[in-house]
Amino acid sequence: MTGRAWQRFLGHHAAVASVFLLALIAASALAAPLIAAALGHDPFTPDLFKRFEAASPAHPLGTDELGRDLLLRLLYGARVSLAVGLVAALVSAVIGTAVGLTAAWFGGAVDAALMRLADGLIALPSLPLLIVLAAVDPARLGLPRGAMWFDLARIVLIIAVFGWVKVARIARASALSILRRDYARAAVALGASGGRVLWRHVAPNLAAHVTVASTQTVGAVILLESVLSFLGLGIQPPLPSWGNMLASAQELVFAAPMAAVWPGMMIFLTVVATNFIGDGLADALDPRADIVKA
Amino acid sequence: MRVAGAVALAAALATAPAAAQPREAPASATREQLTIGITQFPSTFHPAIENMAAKSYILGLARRPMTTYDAEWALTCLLCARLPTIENGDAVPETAPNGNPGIRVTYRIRDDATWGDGSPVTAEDLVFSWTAGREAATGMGPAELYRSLHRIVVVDERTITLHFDKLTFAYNAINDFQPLPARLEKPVWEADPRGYRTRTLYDRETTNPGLWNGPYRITAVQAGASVTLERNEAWKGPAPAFRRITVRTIENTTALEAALLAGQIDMIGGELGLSLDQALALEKRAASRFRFHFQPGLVYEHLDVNLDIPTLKDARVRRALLAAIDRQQIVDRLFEGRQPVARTFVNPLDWMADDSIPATGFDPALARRLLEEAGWRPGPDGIRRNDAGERLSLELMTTAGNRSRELVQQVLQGMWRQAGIEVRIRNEPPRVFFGETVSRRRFQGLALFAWISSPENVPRTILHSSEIPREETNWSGQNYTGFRNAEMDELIERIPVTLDKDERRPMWRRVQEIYAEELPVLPLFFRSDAHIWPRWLEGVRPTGHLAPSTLWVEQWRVAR
Amino acid sequence: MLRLIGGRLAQAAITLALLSFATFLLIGLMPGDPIDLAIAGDPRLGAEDAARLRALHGLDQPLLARYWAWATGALQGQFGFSRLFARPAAEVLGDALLASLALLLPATILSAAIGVTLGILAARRPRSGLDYTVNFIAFAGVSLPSFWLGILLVILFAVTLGWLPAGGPPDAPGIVPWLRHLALPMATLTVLGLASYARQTRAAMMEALRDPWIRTARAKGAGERAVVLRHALPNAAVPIITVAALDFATLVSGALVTEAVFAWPGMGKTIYDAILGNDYNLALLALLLSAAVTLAASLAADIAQIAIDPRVRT
Repeated sequence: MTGRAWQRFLGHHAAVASVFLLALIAASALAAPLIAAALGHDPFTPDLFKRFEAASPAHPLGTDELGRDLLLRLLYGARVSLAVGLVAALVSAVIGTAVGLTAAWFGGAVDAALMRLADGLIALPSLPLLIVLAAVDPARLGLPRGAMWFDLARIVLIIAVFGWVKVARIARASALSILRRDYARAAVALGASGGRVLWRHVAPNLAAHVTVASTQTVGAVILLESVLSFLGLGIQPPLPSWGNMLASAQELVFAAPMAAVWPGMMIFLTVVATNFIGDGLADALDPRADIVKA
Repeated sequence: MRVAGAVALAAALATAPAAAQPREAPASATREQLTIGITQFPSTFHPAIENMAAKSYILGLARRPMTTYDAEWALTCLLCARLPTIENGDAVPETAPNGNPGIRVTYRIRDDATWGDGSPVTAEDLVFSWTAGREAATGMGPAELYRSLHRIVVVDERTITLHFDKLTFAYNAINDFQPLPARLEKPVWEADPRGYRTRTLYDRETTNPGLWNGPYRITAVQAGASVTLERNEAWKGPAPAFRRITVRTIENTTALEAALLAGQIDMIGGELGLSLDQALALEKRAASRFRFHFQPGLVYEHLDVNLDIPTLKDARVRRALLAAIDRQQIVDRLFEGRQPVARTFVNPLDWMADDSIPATGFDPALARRLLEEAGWRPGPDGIRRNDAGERLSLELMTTAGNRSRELVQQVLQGMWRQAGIEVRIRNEPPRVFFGETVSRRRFQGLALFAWISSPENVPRTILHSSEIPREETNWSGQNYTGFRNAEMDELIERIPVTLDKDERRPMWRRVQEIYAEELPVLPLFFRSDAHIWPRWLEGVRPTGHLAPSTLWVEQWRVAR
Repeated sequence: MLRLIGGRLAQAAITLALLSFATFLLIGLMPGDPIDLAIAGDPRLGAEDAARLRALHGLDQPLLARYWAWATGALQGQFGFSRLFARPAAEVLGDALLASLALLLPATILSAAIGVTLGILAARRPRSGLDYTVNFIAFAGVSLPSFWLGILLVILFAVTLGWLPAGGPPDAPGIVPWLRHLALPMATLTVLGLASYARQTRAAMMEALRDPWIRTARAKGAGERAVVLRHALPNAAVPIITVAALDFATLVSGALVTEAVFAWPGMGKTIYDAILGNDYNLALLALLLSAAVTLAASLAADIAQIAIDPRVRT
């Protein structure tokens, strides 16, 4: 980012506040073992005598259905949910933008093939694919069985495979409309290389649409992780994630609503923060923003 | 655009209060309608094709099988006049044409059994049911009955004699054998047996009164959502209490609970209802509005042990695993003591259950001793190790997405950890878990799931050594643990052909003893169904086995 | 235009053929067919029964042979019987589609209308109180899982207030019961859907309002209303239409969770059952339908884009 872009980003107060918020969540997630030690609980070992306890100094947010500390589980859950949410959204955005730009630039058969692939992925029922994947025993592929990083990588990969489509279509549509504008046509006419045109003229103008589309998916991605867990493709118990905490609270709507409120809150905060950061970035990267301000 | 949108939304919301109906009227002694909520919708209404809890629940209201097990788990007649036994002379052992000991059993259909169109239920209806069922192309479910029933002799319009080519103690139980209205269905079947499944009137004209012989008949079906039944005018038994019964399908249990609280359904059928802990939580808040009944049943939650895993081959380790877990605490804390802890696969309500056999309870000291004996000593990380330095680490699998099992699983994991046993959880969707991992014995340790059985069920497919799934036999059989025990094999073969109950008793005791000693399976508990009824409803008697409570709907009464 | 549509039809045919084969393969590759599961759930079914039932339903035939049989039938308009429901697949799907459309069409229209309106309002005054409000509504929409929004509405309007039914299609015919039963699921889908419209519209409009020709229009003295609706909106429409086409296509194959919360017998549940039940005929017909809608929606989006600006090459 250029200095001016930085300036503009710092001028977006909501975005700056959001960066601090996300950093705070991430830092406390990383510090979860220290907090666990300070509180003196193990967030993975059930204690059936302490189910559904209300908030108390020992358990600031109370305990869950197996008597485990909710705050600690939220923090450990943040590790999985933040990593999955942010990485998968980012990977989807990168793949989507690349595909969208390629389709828009080359047009013709390339465009047709890529876009029909995108249509196909939307129409393809994902359920059987996921079940087939769940049946693949990583040990038989020479991969570690039950390693957490492997589970996480698998979640990110699956989400990205389906997630790039929306970004790609938006990137392509916007790129087509930019490429037809006079300055882009002039650049092409003057003999600028394809890469240069795309990078200098098209990409910056796409930033707004692409960031909005992909930051919006962060929430959905965090929730999708729990769907994958439901199919055995996510993370395995007793490891928590916000998504599976929320999902397991579903049957307890009437009995223990707070079990859902906390993870729901965390997801909301993350969504708000990433979206504001997205807005801030889009503003900062928009080459025309200065004209307006001036 | 903005205005249009806003107006449409306002209109949608405004109609709501205006159209709202008054809430449920107070209870009275007679009621027009009873609305039941369950969590499944039947895919077919044909009594003999495919077996599905929702179908059996709904058809319990609309048709009757010949025999069934009742709420006391005793075999009883529903459509037959009296239960044939060797003692009363209606059943006579004979030698079957294939040389095996067989039996002929004579059933008389009740004189008042009538189809909804007024025609009587006759011997011909049973003969048709058998003819169609034994033809492979028809595609009926379990065919055991059609295989062993080799000949039917019609004695008179209402009486038939069935000749079986095998003789077991359950010779007179024909729970799966039910009359089909030959007058309506036979022409359809004869025209094209292979296409019968898609052309049966049960699915094409479900509301045809002639298909139903129960106290109610189906009068309307809303696919995927609800089935409406009304009193069957031709029913000659005691008149049922409600003019109409609607069975609604709400798959999501939380939504089902909400519908109950909103007064949209009157009761929840426990056969397909809320999960136990959901019902327990609801009871605390709504005990004044509803009556709760927790019916322990024949669903046996257990851990199958893969006996091919070297660590688990050692019976001492298996016993230590069982001694290290406090199942009573799990049941007390997670399920408020509403589910009985299992000693073996035999349900405590089954007559042959023997609680005098020595069973392993929670005993951490015993677990410790057994593990030491087996060579597993505490390691530096709290996990036991053997002399070769290997950690005592096992994999525990169950069906992903089953919340209740995942809770139990995590508690077990914690308890085993206390005993120095590391358990890694790896869950799979039911398709993969049952379709491949368990049925092909690919689980690397313990598999948590449930068996459902019938009263006095002989566990042949589960414990006989010939039922171990193998590639050569195309993975048939359900002895997933790989259990082999010559004495058990012999008992399993002898019990079915021992007709005298008192002779079977010691044999059953021995079966339970071997099971509790060898522990090829670690028993957990028997699941309970949560039945939720309105305070004004009386007389519902859940059975705890596969026969639904709706088979006795004419005994349901509205309290004064 | 005709050439575009013709080309697209050819592409669609290839896509459909490939997709149907991929789906067939995936369903076939899923471990454990429904017969296996039936045995696990019913102690009375033995190995012999399993083999017999498998043969009966043709599940023992090689996958390729079964696909070929299906494809030749499908080309002649024969979609066969649903294995699960013992009815013609088209009939089963038709019921589900009607139920789904009754819910989805009004919900999509409402969420697009409200979302775009909110997006325009927010874009006109970035970082104003109104803008933040719109953003927060949108954030709530994307972070609230459909289950929770649905069940909260049910608890409020059905359980606590008793104004509306908790779910299910109406028993009685007539417009009032329909509206009462539709109100909550429709509200759920609308709130969830409008977030994406509002955010995308806001971004596109903010960008469009910065363009030089808007300043020109303003300089020429055009009213604010005209500037926004006549000059900026058409330029912002491209990403909005793209999003709308995508969202509608995704929704047609089912709003599984919303359907589950409101016990609404729609497409989502039917497709889910068909796939888990290895009901090839039903699953593939559903796939053809949702693929056709997706392809049509993406074609419609491209045509709309050309209509807005004829210079776009395709």
